[in-house]
Amino acid sequence: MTTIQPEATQTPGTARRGSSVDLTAVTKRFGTFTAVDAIDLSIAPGEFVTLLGPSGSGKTTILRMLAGFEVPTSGSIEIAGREVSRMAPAARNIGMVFQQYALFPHLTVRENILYGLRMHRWTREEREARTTEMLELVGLVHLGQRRPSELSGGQQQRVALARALAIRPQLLLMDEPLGALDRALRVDMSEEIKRLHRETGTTFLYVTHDQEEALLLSDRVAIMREGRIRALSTPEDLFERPPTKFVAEFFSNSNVLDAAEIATSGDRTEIIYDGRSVARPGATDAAAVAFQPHRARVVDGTADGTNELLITGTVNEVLFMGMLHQIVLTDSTGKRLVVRTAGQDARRIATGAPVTLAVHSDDLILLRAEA
Amino acid sequence: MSTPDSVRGSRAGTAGGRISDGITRWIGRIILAIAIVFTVGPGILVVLLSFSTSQYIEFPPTQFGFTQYESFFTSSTWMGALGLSLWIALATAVLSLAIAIPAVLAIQRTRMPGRNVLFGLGVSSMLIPVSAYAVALYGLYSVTNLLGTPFGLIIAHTLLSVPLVLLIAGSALARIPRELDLVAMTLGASRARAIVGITLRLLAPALLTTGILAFLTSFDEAVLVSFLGGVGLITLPKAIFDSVRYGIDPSITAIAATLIVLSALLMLVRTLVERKSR
Repeated sequence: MTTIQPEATQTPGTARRGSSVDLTAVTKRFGTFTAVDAIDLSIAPGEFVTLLGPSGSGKTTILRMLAGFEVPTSGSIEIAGREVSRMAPAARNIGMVFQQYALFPHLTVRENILYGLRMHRWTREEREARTTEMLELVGLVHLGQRRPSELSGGQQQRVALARALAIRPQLLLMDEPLGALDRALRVDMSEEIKRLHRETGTTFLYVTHDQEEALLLSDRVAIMREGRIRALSTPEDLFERPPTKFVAEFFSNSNVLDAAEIATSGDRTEIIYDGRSVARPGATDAAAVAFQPHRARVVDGTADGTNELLITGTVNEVLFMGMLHQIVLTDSTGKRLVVRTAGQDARRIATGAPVTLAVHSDDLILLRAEA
Repeated sequence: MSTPDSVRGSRAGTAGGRISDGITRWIGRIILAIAIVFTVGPGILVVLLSFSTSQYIEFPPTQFGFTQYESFFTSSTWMGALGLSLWIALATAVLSLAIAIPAVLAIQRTRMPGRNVLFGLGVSSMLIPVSAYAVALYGLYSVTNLLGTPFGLIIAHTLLSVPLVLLIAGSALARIPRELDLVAMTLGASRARAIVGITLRLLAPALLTTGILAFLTSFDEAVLVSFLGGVGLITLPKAIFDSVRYGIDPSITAIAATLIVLSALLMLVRTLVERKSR
């Protein structure tokens, strides 16, 4: 691999692609606790991958190993085909953005950005030009002489991004970068991060526990739980076709029908739930079935139900969400279900009233047993 | 102090509230007055006395002049004691920082085994009464031939100062996010360079404060030197003690005044540096 050049010979202004990242059987133990458990992950150059998971799922540990703050207990980490697991952070040519910005408080905004360029021994003219370029990129040229403490949270995070990207890293690591910002700002910053990704071509690895950020930003999402990657695919795929119950509930907001029975005979699969059944073609070894909140129709109890699974229940709450209504109900097996409908009928549905849902058999997602 | 009626009204609208407000204010003023009389008062008094030309310490002074300062600055005994105290204090400050800075970094920033024990031992000298400590060190020093040596005294003073550095620099370090070092390393700095250029740079005002405190702790120390100094090692506090014991030499007022002004200047430097670093 020849993607790594001596920093001093880099000419500012030349676009450079991000690098590939390959984790092979990476394990990290702290004492008896296994934070990361034999993970394999390959990221293409220039890709935007998000590690999504609840706290303690190992996502931040992976980021810290890629940055060089932790050494894996076993396994190999390659950046651009080069084994880096024991390499110092400084030698890896990566950028890092933290949730709390981590700007140097004693330096001005400009000096913060200059820091990395100085460490990489860029010439004075190159440093100044690059710093101005980065400030323009994040729209903060007018604040160059300010101290970080004089900036808002969003501005500070922009400076942190500019500082990380100034040295043209092959890989940008972000640890919950929007976690400290309020909701409106998070959407703005998501756009900004997406634009920076497009304009720099750098490989981005993003850690979050926020499903919405993962949906908005990523080319691919790795869903993590208890130190392992449970699912890895595009956000659309994971959202529309969650493979397991955990992904269905954690990422796809789906209703999981645990009590459903799934019987395959020949090349037909019959799904039986609460005494009603629906059939669909194809064999399966699925363990459970789910549907997304917007895939269910509210019908009156007499609908014919051809190729539709009917579910009856009692309405707990109807919430008006602007574009649609969210209906929360308890079905006749006692399971809590969430349905979203854009129909005007939803207004007529009263709390405490009986309700019947119809879900088309194609909209039922077959879930395989948890690994 | 005039409080606008609207503000006062909103804070304590009732008559009872207003009265207790007044009482609190008076108690505050009295405490402030007592604090001034007993902290600043003696300082002013000794400075006044130091400009008296009397052979004895008398108040109020009848004649003013620089006699006391003359005898202080021309006495080889006093000057020798001052010089000894200054260099022992300086060495103590340097040694305390040299020991405690790496210790604080190791305690807070590494997973070194036994780091909490190290911290406990480091601050333990604060818990032992100085006189008890002095007796114990006397025993140790008489075995190791350190009695009466400046080196021995510097070690003893460092034991007293290290807890100050551990606590003050430790709490300052706890307020510096670890991420700053980590980010510096991803930006191309070596670990050492990140620690020196970022963390220690941000810690500098606290280190100056704690260095000054270590210096003053040693400079002012009279108990340990009495036990460990033997006959030859006479620091300024020891010399003052001796002089008071064998009759009052009025030049100690000049010494005291000089010490007060010196300490005040040191703290002023610290304040200025802290303000500038903000």
